[in-house]
Amino acid sequence: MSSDKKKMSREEFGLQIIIFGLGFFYAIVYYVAVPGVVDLQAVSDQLLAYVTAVLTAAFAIGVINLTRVHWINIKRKRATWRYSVILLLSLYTMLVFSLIASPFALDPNAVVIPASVIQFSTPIWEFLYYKTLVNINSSIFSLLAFFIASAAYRAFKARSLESTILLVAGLLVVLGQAPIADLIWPGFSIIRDWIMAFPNTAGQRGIIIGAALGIIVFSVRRLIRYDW
Amino acid sequence: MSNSLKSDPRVVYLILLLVVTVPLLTHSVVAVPVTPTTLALYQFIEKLPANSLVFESFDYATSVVPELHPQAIIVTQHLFLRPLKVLFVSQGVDGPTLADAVLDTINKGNKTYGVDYANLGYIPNSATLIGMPANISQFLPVDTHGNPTARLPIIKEFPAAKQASLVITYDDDGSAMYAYLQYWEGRYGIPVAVGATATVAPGFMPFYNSGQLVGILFSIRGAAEYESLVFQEYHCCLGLSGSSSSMVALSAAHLLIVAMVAFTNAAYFVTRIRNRRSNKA
Amino acid sequence: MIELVPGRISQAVLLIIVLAAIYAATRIASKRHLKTRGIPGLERIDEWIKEAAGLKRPVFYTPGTGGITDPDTLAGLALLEYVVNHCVEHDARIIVANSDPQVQQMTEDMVKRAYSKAGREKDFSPDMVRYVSTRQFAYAAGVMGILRREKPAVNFFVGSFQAEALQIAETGRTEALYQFGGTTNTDQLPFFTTTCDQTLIGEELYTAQGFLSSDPDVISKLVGSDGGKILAILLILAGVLLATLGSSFLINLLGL
Repeated sequence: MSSDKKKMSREEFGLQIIIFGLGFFYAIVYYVAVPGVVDLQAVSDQLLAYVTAVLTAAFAIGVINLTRVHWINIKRKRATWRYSVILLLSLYTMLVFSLIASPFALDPNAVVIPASVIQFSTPIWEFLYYKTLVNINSSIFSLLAFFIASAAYRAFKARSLESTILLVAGLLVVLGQAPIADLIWPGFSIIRDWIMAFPNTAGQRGIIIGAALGIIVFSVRRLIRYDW
Repeated sequence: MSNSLKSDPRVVYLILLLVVTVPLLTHSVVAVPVTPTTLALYQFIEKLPANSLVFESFDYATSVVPELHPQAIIVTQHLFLRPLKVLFVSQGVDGPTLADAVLDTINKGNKTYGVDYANLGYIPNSATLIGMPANISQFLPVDTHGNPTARLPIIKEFPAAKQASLVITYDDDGSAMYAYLQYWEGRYGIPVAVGATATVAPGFMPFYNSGQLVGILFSIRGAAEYESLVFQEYHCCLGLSGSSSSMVALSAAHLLIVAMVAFTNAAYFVTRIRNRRSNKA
Repeated sequence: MIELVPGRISQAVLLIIVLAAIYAATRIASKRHLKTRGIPGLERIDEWIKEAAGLKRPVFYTPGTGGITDPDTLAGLALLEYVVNHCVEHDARIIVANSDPQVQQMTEDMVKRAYSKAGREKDFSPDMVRYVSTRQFAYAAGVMGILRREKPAVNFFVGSFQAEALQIAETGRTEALYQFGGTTNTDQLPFFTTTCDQTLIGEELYTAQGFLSSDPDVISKLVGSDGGKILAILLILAGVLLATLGSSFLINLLGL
């Protein structure tokens, strides 16, 4: 890791002033108001809007990077070049139809794009979105069920006292979550509710507090570049 | 079997596939006990005075449609069964489309677009979220149909989001919920509820226990529970969200995992005892 | 006239007190010789990278699905800088996969600079730093594909992760020799601990940077963070005691 203790150049110092100023401005705006003189919240909202505009432009760079990498794959006929063709075709097809016919279409009122083109494109976009994208995304997400099953039988082993407690608590929560388990014994959902409300909440809060303090220190050190 | 599981996890995948598919194909149904967090949300909505404004925020991606879409369908149907006004917004790019899909699924009764409900579309950044409680149409000037929001009767009646009686966010990672808690609940006291996936919902329990959230729907099970509550009161909508028919498959998958873990541990202990005996011998 | 926003006065005061406590604890600790348990696994990173170089298998790194404003992503990028420098030093090929295009710009710059610093600009290839997709599961599918095709020796999943964490960690477990995970997301931590050889849990993600730097004051900084935690614990205990006795003094005070 680079040490921050070396002397900053003039440019670095100027940049650091901007970073420090903007960072602490945002922190201060949350706590301080100057009524009747300037609406600090409106100023920070406007700055945030500029940041959003700049960051959004970076999405174009992402598309360019994807296109470049996969175009090189195709040109050099690498092992997976056929998949690169499919990727680029899918990317630009979806892009074109989304620009014409999605809720974020460029010209929903058919001022420039002919209405017939929009009418033709809309069912295609709906097919690509609802019948293809939604289903593919859901399918990849559903792989999680299989991975959880294999991770569970591998991880839940009573090797020590702590792992036994983890095993028992985990099994009780899984049983409590299964609707049919309440037909076996109603106590499962009561135990699950207790575990979620107390030990789970306590553990989550502990990690949240620790992480929040870590974020405060990390952020302040990043803003002021002073290791304290 | 334990050695098969260790050497090739596809055995586990195949068993899980069968266990989940068979109940779905046979359309088996089971009664679902209602959890306190689901009941809390239902009762909160039931007790809302007539003509209250509710925001529904579609903050999930298409990948979690099977988990969160059923929640959105049944809760939206409940809102439409009651004399409430509903505004649809979204902090995710898929939200406006998914909101339209929900509206196409439910029975809207005699509710009129623009008067009783409207889809205001995508909230692009936190500046918009921060500004909406003061003035909705300044920050969301057009709805998803291109209509100026300032001219919609529902916005004329409720020009500021701080007049809302409830925000329900369907969130797959918690970021939208934290934003609503920070900017709406923390500053204006607007009650917030969340419909979440099974992986993130346990992390929201501290907020429910502290009273910052008025209710949590846990995954597709929450949708099935909510559907049963709506059915009990309004005698309709059973099967609308498609969640109730998934409960047997869900239960079977859970019980399979419990059985596999129990079996693996039994095999582990038997192996340990055998090793100890052979060491003694 | 400058005013404090009502409802946030106690938060502002508490923040100042917490920062002061952290600073004071750091100063006090720097004057003493203290020991710490360390973060297990950090010292193995270098060893794993050397092994990857020896086996001629790449090192894979992904900072997750968060944006550049996400503290977890920034902490992941801080560790990436260390990993990249060691990969260049030991001549191990690095592959970085990104979900966010802005993060991709930063990681590409980081990898390029590491090669430039070592005088090996020509060895850098844009292929090393890939933008996969902003969509969560398209990113997961892309990363799973990279892991299956490239078969890295070491996988680093350090940053901001959501539900895709288990998918990529499980896939990585079958393809790689070693896995190093880290996130503060409490929902995904269990998946990392079951699939990774070493895991940075919660705030270890933010303190890892200190341990990996050759900074002699790292322990005093850790104690500083612990100073803030001790203050939080004391407040919690005070609140529990007062609430049990039926007093809402602390709740009202913190609500100012």
